[in-house]
Amino acid sequence: MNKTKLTIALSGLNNIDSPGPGIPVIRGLRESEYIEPRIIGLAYDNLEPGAYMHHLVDKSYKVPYPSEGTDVLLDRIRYINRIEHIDILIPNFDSELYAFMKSEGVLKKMGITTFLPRMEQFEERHKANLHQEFISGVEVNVVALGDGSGNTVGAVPMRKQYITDKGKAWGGITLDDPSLLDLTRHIISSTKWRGGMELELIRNENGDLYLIEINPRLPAWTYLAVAAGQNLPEALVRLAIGQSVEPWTDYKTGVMFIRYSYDMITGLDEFEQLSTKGEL
Amino acid sequence: MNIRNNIAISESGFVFDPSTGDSFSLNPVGLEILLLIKQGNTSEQISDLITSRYQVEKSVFERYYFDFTSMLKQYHLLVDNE
Repeated sequence: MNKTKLTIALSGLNNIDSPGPGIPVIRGLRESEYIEPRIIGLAYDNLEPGAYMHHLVDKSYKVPYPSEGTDVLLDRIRYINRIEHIDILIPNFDSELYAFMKSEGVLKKMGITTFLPRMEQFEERHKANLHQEFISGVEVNVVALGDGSGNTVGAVPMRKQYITDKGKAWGGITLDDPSLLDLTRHIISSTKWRGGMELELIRNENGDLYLIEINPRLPAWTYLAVAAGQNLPEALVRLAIGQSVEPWTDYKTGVMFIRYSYDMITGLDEFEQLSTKGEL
Repeated sequence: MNIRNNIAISESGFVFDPSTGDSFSLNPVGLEILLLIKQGNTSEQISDLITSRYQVEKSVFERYYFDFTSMLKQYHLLVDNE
């Protein structure tokens, strides 16, 4: 099959103890049957490990924090785009999503496509609960992708098996739980959700589900879905470029992930290049 | 009662519940009993089979069998016949 060559810029290269989703998303894209990606890493910090993972990331650029202002961020994206000709941009940090969602039109004019939730979906998601009864139970999560028309392209539920002191999953396993999938499909169809999504839920002893949070992006454990048979990063990119993607109807249950830390060795010259020139 | 039909039981005695992600390890006799339940044997039939295969008093076996099946129900592996 002839793969579509695409230049894809993405953030979330902080593959640390509270990892960003960038590297898992890249792993999915690298394994794609349809896409041949050139990966442009957007790093906020000089020590984001992904910037040094040259087998996964072709070129990295430092970008200003969204708190410095959307215009400053867009100026930097404009500069990077002049060199790299970005086709797709996948922001993977919650803090930058607002800026990139607001700038969809500006990015489009630069020739950069995104596939993000619309502003009203984003706002709807974080209505504050001032009082919340404590719910005890097991934490379960779902990674999903909505096509923007109400269809769920893919969804994989997971239970955290090992949780770090930061509350992050260090190990997890895919579940066969139709009620989680029904809930996900309901949320995606009623909001016409566009893009990646992570649902965080608690299941109490009676089996009732309580929704804690909706994250408007693919999560750091996205690669588990890829391994279970749903390459959601690939599907997100295909939807972004207007290809039709057949929704998945199943996935493998009992697939596990176990995170590990690894001391990657790099040269001072690389660190120097990223910290002084802002490019690597 | 029977084992929930999506429960995976391996030859080594590893039991996996795909709806919760829970896994359990059984010793060989536990595995044997679980498979007998799965095959649809009644408690009476299982008691007869086990006491004929192993040197164990029926009353003693049945006490342990009750404990074992209670635990299986507690973990939602065993359901009453539907």
